[in-house]
Amino acid sequence: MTLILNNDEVQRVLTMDACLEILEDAYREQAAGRAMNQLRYDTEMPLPEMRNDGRYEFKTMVGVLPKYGVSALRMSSSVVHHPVITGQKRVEKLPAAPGGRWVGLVQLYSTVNGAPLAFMPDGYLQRCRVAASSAIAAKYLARDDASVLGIFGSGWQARGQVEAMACVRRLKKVKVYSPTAENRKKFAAEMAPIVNVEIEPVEQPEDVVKGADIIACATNARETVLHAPWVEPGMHVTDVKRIEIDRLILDRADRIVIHQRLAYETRIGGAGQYGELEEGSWRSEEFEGYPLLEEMVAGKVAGREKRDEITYFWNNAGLGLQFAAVGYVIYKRAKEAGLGREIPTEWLTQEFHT
Amino acid sequence: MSLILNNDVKSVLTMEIKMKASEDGHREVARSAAVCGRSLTDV
Repeated sequence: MTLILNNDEVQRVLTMDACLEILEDAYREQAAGRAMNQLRYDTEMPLPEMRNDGRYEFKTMVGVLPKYGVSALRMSSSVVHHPVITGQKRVEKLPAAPGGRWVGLVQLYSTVNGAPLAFMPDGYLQRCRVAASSAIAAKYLARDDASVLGIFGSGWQARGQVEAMACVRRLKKVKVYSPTAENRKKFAAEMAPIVNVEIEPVEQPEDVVKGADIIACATNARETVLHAPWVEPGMHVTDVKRIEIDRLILDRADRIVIHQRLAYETRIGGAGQYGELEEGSWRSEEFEGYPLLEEMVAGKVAGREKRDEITYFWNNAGLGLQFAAVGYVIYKRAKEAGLGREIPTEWLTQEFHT
Repeated sequence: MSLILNNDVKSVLTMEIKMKASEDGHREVARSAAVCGRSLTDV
């Protein structure tokens, strides 16, 4: 039988500490050459009938983790547009699927017999895996006594960052900035009881940085939110997308660790069979010379060594491995708890090969 | 909502349908109204 889970069930069984633990182990497996990824690939087709640069997006990531007997395909199928909000161009995924919903799935397969094990939405898992990787990096790169977290953004990703950072450091205060005052106030009111820490919404982006020990950018901004000169000695900074921190951080930081080595492609349709590379995409050369998170976790490279170092975890792209690892935890726990709906695996396999 | 198995595919898919759909797909790509993902081996 193949297990079908919804986000509520995923959330019931997936705790942030479990996410951190399995991911750290998965990074060790990868550092030892016992896991692998297929590079993320984003295909975007412009939809001329839509306003605000509307597009259809299809994205895929793959990871293989034999230690836990799983591989994972994470995919999303979305209609997006790019409105300008408070002067910044943003990307918004529209709830275009029936019932006003979004489509993002993790498909988990067995590396033992190839069979499909489980299908689950990627929403909660996605939030946890990004934040967990940032927190694993902070565990090695932030000061041991780091207690003030500054957050840019007030959406799902930002919420995950607060939860995950609270697992690796004893936080006393969180400061949050996002352009819409109502959003940052709501974030503070909702997250404070979850992590049991004071959360202060601040009116200016610079105020997030002042006095912070860890600064996490977790926004959907299309423009820089953290300017490198604001960062002070002893701070640890991280991001979830390229545009959030200006590239001066690469000169300013004393120690930089990256998540993955190869630039993934976002290709925009409208010219040729494979479209064209999105303007401003990463180039793999930009990542040359920086150690990987998995190398730090495996003890092959050092984490923070001095109190006044500026450290930067450049979360330059996700890995399919994260979905295999976290997907395994969810699958195992959901099976144990008797959650989800099962369908015959025969419906998803066939009598001849292609 | 549908889950289509091999027997179902076999019972509805004719060569004529395949050729017509494929030809239409190629026309859409030719006028840049469709796009394909690239295999990593193409990079």
